[in-house]
Amino acid sequence: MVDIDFSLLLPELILIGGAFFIIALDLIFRRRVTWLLLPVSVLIVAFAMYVAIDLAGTVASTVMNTFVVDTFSIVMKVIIMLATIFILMLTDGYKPLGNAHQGEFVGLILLASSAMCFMVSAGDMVMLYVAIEFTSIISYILVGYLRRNPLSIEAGIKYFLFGAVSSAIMLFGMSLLYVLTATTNLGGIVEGIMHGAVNPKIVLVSVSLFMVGLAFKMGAVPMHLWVPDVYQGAPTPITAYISVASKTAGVAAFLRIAFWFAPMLDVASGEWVNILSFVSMASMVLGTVIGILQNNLKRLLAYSAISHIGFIIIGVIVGQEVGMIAVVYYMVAYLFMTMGAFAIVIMVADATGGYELNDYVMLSKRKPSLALLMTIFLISLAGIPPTVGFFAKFYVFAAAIKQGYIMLAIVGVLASVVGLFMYARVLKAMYLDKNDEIMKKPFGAIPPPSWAVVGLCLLGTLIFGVYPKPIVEIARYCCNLFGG
Amino acid sequence: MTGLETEEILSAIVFYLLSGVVVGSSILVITLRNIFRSALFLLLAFFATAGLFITLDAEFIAAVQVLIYVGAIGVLILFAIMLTRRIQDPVAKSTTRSFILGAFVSAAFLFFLILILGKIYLPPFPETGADTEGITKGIGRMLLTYYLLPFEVVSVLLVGALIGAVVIARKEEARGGEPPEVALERERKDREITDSKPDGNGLEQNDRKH
Repeated sequence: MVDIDFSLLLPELILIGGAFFIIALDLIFRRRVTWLLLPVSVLIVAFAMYVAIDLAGTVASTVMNTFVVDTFSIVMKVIIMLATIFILMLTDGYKPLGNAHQGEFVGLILLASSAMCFMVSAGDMVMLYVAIEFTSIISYILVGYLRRNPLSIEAGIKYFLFGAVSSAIMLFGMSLLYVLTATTNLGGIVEGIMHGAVNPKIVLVSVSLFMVGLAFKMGAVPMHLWVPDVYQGAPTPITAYISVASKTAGVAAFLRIAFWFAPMLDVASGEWVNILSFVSMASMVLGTVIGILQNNLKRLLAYSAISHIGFIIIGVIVGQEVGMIAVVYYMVAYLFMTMGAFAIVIMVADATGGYELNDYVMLSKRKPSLALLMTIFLISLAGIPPTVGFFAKFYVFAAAIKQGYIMLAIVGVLASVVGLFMYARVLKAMYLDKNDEIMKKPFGAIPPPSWAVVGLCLLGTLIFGVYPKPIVEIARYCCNLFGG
Repeated sequence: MTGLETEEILSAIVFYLLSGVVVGSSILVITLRNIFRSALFLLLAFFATAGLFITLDAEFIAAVQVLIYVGAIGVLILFAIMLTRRIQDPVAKSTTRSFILGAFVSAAFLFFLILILGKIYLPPFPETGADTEGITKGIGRMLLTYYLLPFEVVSVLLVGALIGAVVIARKEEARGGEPPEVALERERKDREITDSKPDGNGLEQNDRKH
């Protein structure tokens, strides 16, 4: 018999149940209660988040080690669910979606959140693969949700094709690991490799192929090609959702596996670190350099996301306690600043109808509050104090220097400096550029839930930017990984 | 020549024959211009894969492969092709300008894998319970014990995919209180407009900077 500890699975079960409840509610009342769906779904996610936080401190596994709960997984799940709540609130003000099929839209978002939570907690290759596919399939649907918009459909198809290829490569790596150890359990694999006389080269190849799937979810170079097109074509709340929640889930799974596999990769550690360093540096450089050339805000934020992944991977390379703290802090920072920036992109697009830099010209005159807020989020993304983005980068670089990865730190600092220019272009458009035509265009009203999201993100960005201690303390608890 | 050697040679011949069919028909699937023929070769690839499973003593997987892939999915694809207007047009190109680059990258990847994996001695696969209790029973037992959670999550995944498929294939919804007839009429008009364009999907018209 299998012992199942349902209390550990409760947050995921609430999300799944909530998704079907929302869809049923919409169908039973024949779409007459659409105004009710968003508040109810926000409550459901908040409840799931409360249950997850309630589990804090547990370090346990259930269903024969396929599902793992520790403080790290709980922190990551809370980030994912916070992102989900923000997205649901932003959906309210997002016009292109219209009123149609909101039940399904919200339901699918909740299902995707549960899938991401499974991804964070996976302790087994099959569980991880199913969770990744679950997240991906729901994301393809959400990305292509605007059926009438060719860009949205194109983004959906591109995302699907890239996802299918990376899944195939990942499955190949997984099958190699299974052949080597005759188990799919991640802990069992480490044990099998350590005790068997296995050629370190084949371990390196199989783990690298395995990680391709996670690199795809994170949007790290060289699996980044889908990022700009999908970010641009997807409905903007979904762009923000993929950018924050899906990436957090990918980083969480990546970090867990990197930490677990560390002893078995030790024999090939030089090459493994080289591979990761290449991915990290390529992401940072490519993200910032190509980001400078972008004139579309969604594409600009896409390249910004690629460069941020590079910084996060530095933390994974460093490993140990400092690396863990750096990564967890970075993810929290990333949630607040990226979500805030995307919220403003949605507001401006709803009010003016565009995502181009030209639509931001003279925003400081037309809507000074939005311009100021955008400035704060952008300087946080660039890593300037007194914002949360500064400490995120600071901890990553400090960790890298402490463990002797000087090269990574240097490339990182240079990339941040270049990245500054990328964000400064938006600031220039908002404050310095002149265009009298645009002043005549009306600026639409902004729905209150969007203001709430921006307010919360602003609080997170500024408070943790001045007083980072609480997050660092929580991150310290995360070091106690299950079985790690 | 002993009996064992003959058996090994025979199984090697069967393996390479089946693999050849799988690889060959897979290449035809992506290069043929007629999508209907592509689908038929896809069925052949599925079928040969089932044969590969049989050579591995995995009869259950082979049966499932035939039932689900050849039987259900393959026939579904054929139906979808036959029921879709204009999709059978032979003008649809299945190769792109980056064909040579893609072929080069794929070949390099294949070469790299052969180089690494060909040299490495794989340890003999450890005994599993499946040998004693039969593969079907073994799979069933594993699905409901060790793989219980992924198994259940897959069922939720399928429901989600189903909902998504319905949403994507839906008819236009009535907008803000208009009667369904009006919505249907608008959908019909939209479709006519889309159909009359030279390339209805409009993918070429986006100018994006990379």
